[in-house]
Amino acid sequence: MAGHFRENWTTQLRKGVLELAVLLALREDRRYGYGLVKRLTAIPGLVVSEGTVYPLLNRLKREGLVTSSLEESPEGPARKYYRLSERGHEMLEWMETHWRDLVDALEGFGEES
Amino acid sequence: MIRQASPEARTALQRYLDEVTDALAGTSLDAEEILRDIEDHVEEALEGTHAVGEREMRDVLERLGPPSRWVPVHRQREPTGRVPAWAEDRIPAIAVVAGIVTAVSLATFPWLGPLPLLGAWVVSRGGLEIVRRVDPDTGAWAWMLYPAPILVSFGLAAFVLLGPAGPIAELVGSHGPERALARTAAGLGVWWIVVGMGVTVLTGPVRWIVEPIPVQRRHGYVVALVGVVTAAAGGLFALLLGAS
Repeated sequence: MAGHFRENWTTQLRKGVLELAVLLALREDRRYGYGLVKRLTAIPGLVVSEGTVYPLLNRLKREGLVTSSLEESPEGPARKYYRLSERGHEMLEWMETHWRDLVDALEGFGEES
Repeated sequence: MIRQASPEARTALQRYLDEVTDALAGTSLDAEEILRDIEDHVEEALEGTHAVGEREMRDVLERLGPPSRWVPVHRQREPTGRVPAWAEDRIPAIAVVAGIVTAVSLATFPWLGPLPLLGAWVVSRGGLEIVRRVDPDTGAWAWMLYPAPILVSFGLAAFVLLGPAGPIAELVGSHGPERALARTAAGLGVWWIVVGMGVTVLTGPVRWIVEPIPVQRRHGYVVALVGVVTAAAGGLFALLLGAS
């Protein structure tokens, strides 16, 4: 029972922060799909399955938060690079503020006692 | 790397791409772009692998997840067809109503026929649509939304596939029971070819009607293939019986 609860809770938490993680990774640098997948899978605790990243990227693109462009690659065929749009930067800023507020508020529980 | 992959590995990739294409049928998503993303990912993931066999390819595809994964995340967030707030808050109640209507329609089936079951299908199908858009990871009570759509889907499939058997038998006339049976089988086989090909062309609408049964384009090919075999066997027997 406790195991199921933990699993469910961590799954929901990861789902919730995945969009934030993708936008943060794209703020670091423009990235091609596979590079972004590798960057995200390297984050301990996030546990991203590779197939979830592309549908998410396509949705963020449709929502105008991310743009993509095909660029020549010295290592082989042209790659599709993703980068944050202006709207994406604004949204990320809002999400970060919201995230920090939430973390601060939750940490406040411990400090009050 | 894909070009250098073994034939088995390329077949495995092609099968995966076909299944993704099937899963995307009927959605507003750009299938071409998604397929290109998958191919690019596979290409990158296999970079540096000297011999790409079926096993290496399957490892990459397994990490990508099932083909159906490429659809739900998009479809859950489609901007069109928003669920009204009142319905969003009442999913358990809708499921219970669907369950009750289904039970009543089954209990009254001998007297009232399939009409109440169609009512149960409408309620359940609406509930499934809300669940799909709001939160697919719903609670255990959601099972009550499934019996009516499944029963109606199988009933509809049986009606579409076997319903024309009577008219076809009448059409081919009576030339002795064996010949009539063989001719009816041949006619039914031709009908199944038509139905199967129809499913391959209209996979999206068919899937919408029979949801939650995950109909795919390849199921249409299977029905058409069974139709070819049945038509050929029936035609052959009719010819042999006619000659004797």
